[in-house]
Amino acid sequence: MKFPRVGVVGAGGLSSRQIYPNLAAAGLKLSAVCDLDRAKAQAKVDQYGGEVFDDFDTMLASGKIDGVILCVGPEFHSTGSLKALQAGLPVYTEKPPAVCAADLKPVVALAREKNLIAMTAMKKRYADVYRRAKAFIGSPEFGSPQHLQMFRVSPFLWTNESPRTDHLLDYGVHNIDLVVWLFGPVKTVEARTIEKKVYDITLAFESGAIGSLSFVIRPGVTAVEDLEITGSSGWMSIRDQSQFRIGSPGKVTEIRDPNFSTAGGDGGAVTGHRTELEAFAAALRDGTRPASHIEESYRTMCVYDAIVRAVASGKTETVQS
Amino acid sequence: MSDPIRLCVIGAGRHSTNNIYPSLFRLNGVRVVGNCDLDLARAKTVAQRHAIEQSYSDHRAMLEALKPDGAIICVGHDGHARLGAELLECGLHVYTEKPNATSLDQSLMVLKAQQQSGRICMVAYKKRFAPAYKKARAIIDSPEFGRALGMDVVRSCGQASVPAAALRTHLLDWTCHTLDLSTYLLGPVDRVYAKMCAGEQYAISVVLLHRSGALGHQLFTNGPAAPEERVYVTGSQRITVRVDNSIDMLAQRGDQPFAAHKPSFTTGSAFGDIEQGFAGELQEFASAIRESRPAESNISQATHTMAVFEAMWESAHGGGEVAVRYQP
Repeated sequence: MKFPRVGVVGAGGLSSRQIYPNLAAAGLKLSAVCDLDRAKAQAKVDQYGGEVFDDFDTMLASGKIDGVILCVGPEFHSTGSLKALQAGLPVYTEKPPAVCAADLKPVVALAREKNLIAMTAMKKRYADVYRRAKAFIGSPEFGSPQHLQMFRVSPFLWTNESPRTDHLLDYGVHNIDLVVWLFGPVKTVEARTIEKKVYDITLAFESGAIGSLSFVIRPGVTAVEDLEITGSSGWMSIRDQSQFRIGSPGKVTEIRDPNFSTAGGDGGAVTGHRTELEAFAAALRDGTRPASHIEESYRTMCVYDAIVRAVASGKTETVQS
Repeated sequence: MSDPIRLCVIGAGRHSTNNIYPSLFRLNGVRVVGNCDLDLARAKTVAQRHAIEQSYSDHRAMLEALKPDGAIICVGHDGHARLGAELLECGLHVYTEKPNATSLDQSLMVLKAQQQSGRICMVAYKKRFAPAYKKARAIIDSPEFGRALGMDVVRSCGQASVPAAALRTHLLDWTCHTLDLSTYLLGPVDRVYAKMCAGEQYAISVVLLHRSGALGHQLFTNGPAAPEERVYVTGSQRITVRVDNSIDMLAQRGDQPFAAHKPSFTTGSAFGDIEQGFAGELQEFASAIRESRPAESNISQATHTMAVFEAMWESAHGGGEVAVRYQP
C-alpha cells in the first residue's frame, strides 16, 4: 500500500483549506468524497480526483478506501468513527473527536477490540516547534517539569451556541491537548470564565508540575499563542507556534525563527496540517501509532470535561479517566 | 462553470515536488492532465500522489498525446529557456521556474518566441504574489506614500561555501528574486553599480538606480547565517514599509503603524505556500490563460530582471556603473 486510499466525509470550508490540498503531499490518495451537498463533493472530486458518494454507509462498503477522514463536526466525529471502525476501516477525525469524553469512550473501546487505528487531528502534536518542545522536555537539559503557562488569543468570534461554535470545545481543545501531551496526565483542575469568552484555567499535573491556561477572544486581530515552559534545569519560550528560545539559567542555548524567504518555507510542518495527515498515512501503511491516537484524545477530553465541571462548580475538580 | 484549464508539468525534482505540485491543488479551475520527467519512475511517483493520470519521460510525447493548454517547466536554468522557447513555438502557454534563462541573450530569445507566438509566458517570481509584498506594493503605489525614495534589501542564503566556478550560477539563482522584487516595488532600473568580496564566503553590495529616481541597495551574502531576507522601503511622505522573512509587513507613518500583514500559524488561517507566493503565481498563470491577458511576472518583466542581473555581474567584475540593456 504505497499511497493509502482515503475517503473524506465533509467538503466544507475547513476541509477545503486544510485537508484536501494536503492529502497528496502527505502520501494519501483521495478515492472517495462524501457530503450531504453532492455539488460540494463533486467539486472536490473534479479538483482532486476520486468518486462522489451521497451516503456514508455506501462509501464504507465500497471496498475503494483503506481509511476514513471525518471533517463534519464533533457530534458526528464519534458516531462516524464507530461506523468506520465497525466496517473495519481506520479513522481520522478533525478535532474535537467528540462532544465529551463519554461519547468518545465507545470509540476507544471499539478501536481496541478491532485493533484498528483511530486518531484525532490534534495538529499541534505534529507542528515542528512543539515536537521540539516535547523532545526538550524529555531531555536532561530541561530536568523535571515544573511550570507551564499558555496565553492564547482567538481572532474568531465564538458564539457558543453549539459544539461547533464553542470557544472551549472547538478552539481551546487544541491547547488543552497540547499541554497534556507536553506535561503528561492532569490530576486536578480549577477554572473560571467570563461568559465563555475568557477562560482562566489552572492545572495540577500528576508529575507535581503546575500550569495555567488563559484563553481570550479579540475579534479580528491576529491570533496569539505564547507558551512558557519551565523545568528544573531549563526553559523554553514559544511564540506563534513557530518561533522559540531555549535556555538554561543565565543563557539562551537555541533559537528558531523559521525561514519563509526561500523555497524551504512551511510545507505544512509549521502549522502541522500536512504532518498530521502524514501520521495517518503512516498508520494506514504500516500500522504506526500516531501521536494523537484516540486513546490520547480521550485523555484530553477527560481534562476538557473536568474544566467544564470546574467552571460550573467553582471548585477544584479531579480529572476522571 | 467553464472547463478547467488543462496543464502539464515538466520536471519532478525536489523543488517541484515540494512546492509546485502541492500548490497546484489549491488552485481554482485547473486540471493537471500529465507530468513528465527524464526519470519516468520519479514522474510516476509524483503523479500517483497528486492524482495525475498520465506520466511520460518524453515531453514531446506528452504534449502530443494530451494537448494541454499550457505547461509548467521546472527542470533547471538552461532547460527553462530551451524548453520555454520550444513550447511557445508549439503554441502553448508557458510558465517556467526562475531564473528563466542563464543569460540575457537566452532570455531575449524566449521573449522573441513569446512575441511571435502571442502566447502567455510567465516566470515564477513568487515574491510578486506573496501577500506581504503585494500589500507593500499597494501602499507604495498609493498617493499617501508620495514618491519612493529608496529601498534597502539584505538577503543571506545560509549556504556555507560557494565554489568560484559555481558563483555566477549561484548568484543568478539567489539574487534574481529580490532584484525582481525591486523592479516590482519601485519600477524599472536604468543603471547598476556593484562591488563584491569574492570567495567561498562572499558578499556583494549592489546599488540600483531606478528610472523613477529612487535608489535601491541590496546586500547579498552566503555567510554562516540561516537564510534571511529583510526589505525596507521609504517614501517622501514619512512612510516606511518593512517586510521581514517574506511574510511579515509593517507600514509606519512617522513612528506609528497604520498597516500590517502578519500571518498566524496558530490557527488554520495561514499556509506557507500561500504566504510565500507559490499558490498565487500558479493561479495567476491559470487565470491569465482563462482571461486571455498578459500575466504578472511575464517574460518581458523577467528579461528586465535578467538584464539587471547581468549589469550587476558586469559591474561587480570591475565594470563601474553599468546600464541595464533591456527595458520592459
